[in-house]
Amino acid sequence: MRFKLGLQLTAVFLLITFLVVGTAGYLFFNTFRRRLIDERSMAQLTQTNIIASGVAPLIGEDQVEARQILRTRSREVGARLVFLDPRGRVALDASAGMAERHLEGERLDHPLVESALAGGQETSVQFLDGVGWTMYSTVPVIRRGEIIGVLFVSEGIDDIVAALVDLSRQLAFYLGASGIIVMLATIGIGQYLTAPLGRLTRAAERLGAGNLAERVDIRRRNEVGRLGEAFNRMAAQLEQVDRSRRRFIGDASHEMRTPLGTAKIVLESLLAQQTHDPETRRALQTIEEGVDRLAGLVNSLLVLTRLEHAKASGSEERWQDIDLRELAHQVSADCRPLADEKALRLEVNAANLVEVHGDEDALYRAVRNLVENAIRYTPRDGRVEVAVGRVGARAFLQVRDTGNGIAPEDLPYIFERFYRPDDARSRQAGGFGLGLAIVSEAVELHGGRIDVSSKPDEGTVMTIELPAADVE
Amino acid sequence: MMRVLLVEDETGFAGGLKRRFAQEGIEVDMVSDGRQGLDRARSGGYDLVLLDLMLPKMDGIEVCRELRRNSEVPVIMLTARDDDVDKILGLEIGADDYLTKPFNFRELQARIRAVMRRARVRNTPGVNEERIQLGGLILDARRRAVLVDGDPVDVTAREFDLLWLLACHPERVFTREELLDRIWGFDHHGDTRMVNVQVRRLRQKIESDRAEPRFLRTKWGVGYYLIDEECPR
Ligand SMILES: Nc1ncnc2c1ncn2[C@@H]1O[C@H](COP(=O)(O)OP(=O)(O)OP(=O)(O)O)[C@@H](O)[C@H]1O
Ligand SMILES: [Mg+2]
Repeated sequence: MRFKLGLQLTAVFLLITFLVVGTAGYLFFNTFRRRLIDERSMAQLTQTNIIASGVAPLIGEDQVEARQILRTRSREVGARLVFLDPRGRVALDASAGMAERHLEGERLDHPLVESALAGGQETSVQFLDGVGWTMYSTVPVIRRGEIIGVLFVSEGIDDIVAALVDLSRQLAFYLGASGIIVMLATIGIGQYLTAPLGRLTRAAERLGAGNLAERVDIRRRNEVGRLGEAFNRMAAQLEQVDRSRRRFIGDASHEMRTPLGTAKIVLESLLAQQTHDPETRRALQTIEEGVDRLAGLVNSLLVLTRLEHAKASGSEERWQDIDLRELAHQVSADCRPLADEKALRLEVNAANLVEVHGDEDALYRAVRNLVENAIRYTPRDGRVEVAVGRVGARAFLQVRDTGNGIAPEDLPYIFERFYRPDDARSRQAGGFGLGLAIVSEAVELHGGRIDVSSKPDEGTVMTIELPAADVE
Repeated sequence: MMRVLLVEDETGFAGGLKRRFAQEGIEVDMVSDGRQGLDRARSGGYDLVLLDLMLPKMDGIEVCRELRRNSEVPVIMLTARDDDVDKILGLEIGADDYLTKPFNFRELQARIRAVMRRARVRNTPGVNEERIQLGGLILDARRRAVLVDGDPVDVTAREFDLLWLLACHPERVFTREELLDRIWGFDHHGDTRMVNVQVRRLRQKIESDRAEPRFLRTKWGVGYYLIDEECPR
């Protein structure tokens, strides 16, 4: 994902570079080639004309002398000279007697010959097998205003070809070099542009995952820098909103405690009187249960906001070294009365010292909620076991019960706030569905994990895994 | 006959609590603001002061701090907020215990019993200066000796000081900050891990099972206290 934008940029720029440099190179090459060939053909025509006029008087008069001149000139200019009679037959070949194959007496069918017989002077370039690139030119041989033949010259132009090959090599080199430069430059620019975007993306993901303290540090005087600033402002605002939400819940909960305290003590004083008829007593007890429930809700909300606050502030200042064995024993001692009420066996299994570094209150609440759940959701005469252990750098605390279990379809949701399965709601077991939310919040605060495995009607195993602290 | 002063501006609450105390045969005097509360508590004769945290004129924290200048009367704070526990229990304010509303009256009774017994331990003439016995744990200040179920235990000077401080106020929870200030002095401020380490060592000496301490207990999320095995609970 991170390279996408940079790659696109590189591809587009490379395309543009090849188009521009390639077209320019092609045009330049063509112009250059035409120039070289035009110059050469001009030179060749001029030369041919001179030879033609030199040879014209001798044609038909002194064949030997004419051949001799052609031969000399041919050697001078490094070209092959052939004289054709007006019917297109080779009358004189300068290389006759030297070349392995001379053309005298043969017909030369070539468009240039015809055009020369018609009075034109032309050149053309052709590729000949075994010889290479060759330039032909034909000039009419005129004596007293009459065309008496054609002088046909063929000359290798390897030098021009070599120059052109050299040029195309250079052009290719420049094309390649500019391609590489553009590629490196755009990859650099791409990095420059996308690196902060990548950081922003990851920051946004973490922010989305709940870490509202997330900020980015992008010092750029361009749009990317502005985006970074906007991101930071947004995160700060979110944090502010979250903080005031927490403060609101905290304040509201605290405010509720005063009237709840009044209701509770008044109810207790009323219930302590012996004078009520049974119906009134039952009514008072119902009200008291309601007050207790509300007080429990307020407590859970306060614990949750406190944990949220601890997580948001990220402060470990108050963290302690905590002996998980002692914690397990303490929680089970505190929960013993609940277990006894249902005749449950409540056991702690903790042989070795296991310590973690953390928030004492948070961990106590977490373990307490797990044990209370195990007791609450296990029928009479069942068993609840708290075990503590350590594997490598991970500390474990496991609460295991022989209770109702949790239906698979409820499992993904039980850690959500206020989630209670329907059957549990209808049962009188009566919590709010905040216990496990507190557990997961507390475990998250410590960078730990929580794992559940449960079989309906067989039991549940909840395992908290925390980074272990080194002991002593 | 126990005399209790209740300083509370919430009249419904004060009335309910007074009636509940009356049902137990305990007379409670009520005042509804901090200034008056302080005057009444000073002019005295009370065995216990129940102090609301949020009071008109002078809040509970200030009342307690003022009262502590010249009175050792046990004070239990009643509060709707539990986020300043450290402060309430701290050295500066000097409350003996606190309870958050709403609470069970039974819970309040238990706290009162502990606080009263603590006051008695403190006030028994001659004994508290030299020797404190809390069930199976005996501290002898003159010889700086510790006995667990009659067996002597070797402790360092600092460990003895820590134990002695806790033993002078059995069942009273001390925050780590307070222990640090009192035993180590203010120059160690903030380094509460030292308290942890010290407690761990002390437990190794006086407890048969550190995971289930019999004497030196943890009040989770608050601090440490020494249990009084004789205190009814
Ligand atoms: N040990 C367990 N055995 C069976 N079901 C459990 C167990 N622990 C939790 N559950 C199920 O998960 C649900 C959510 O648990 P959670 O502790 O969050 O809320 P609660 O116990 O219903 O209420 P609260 O804890 O707020 O008083 C419970 O209602 C219960 O159905
Ligand atoms: Mg629960």
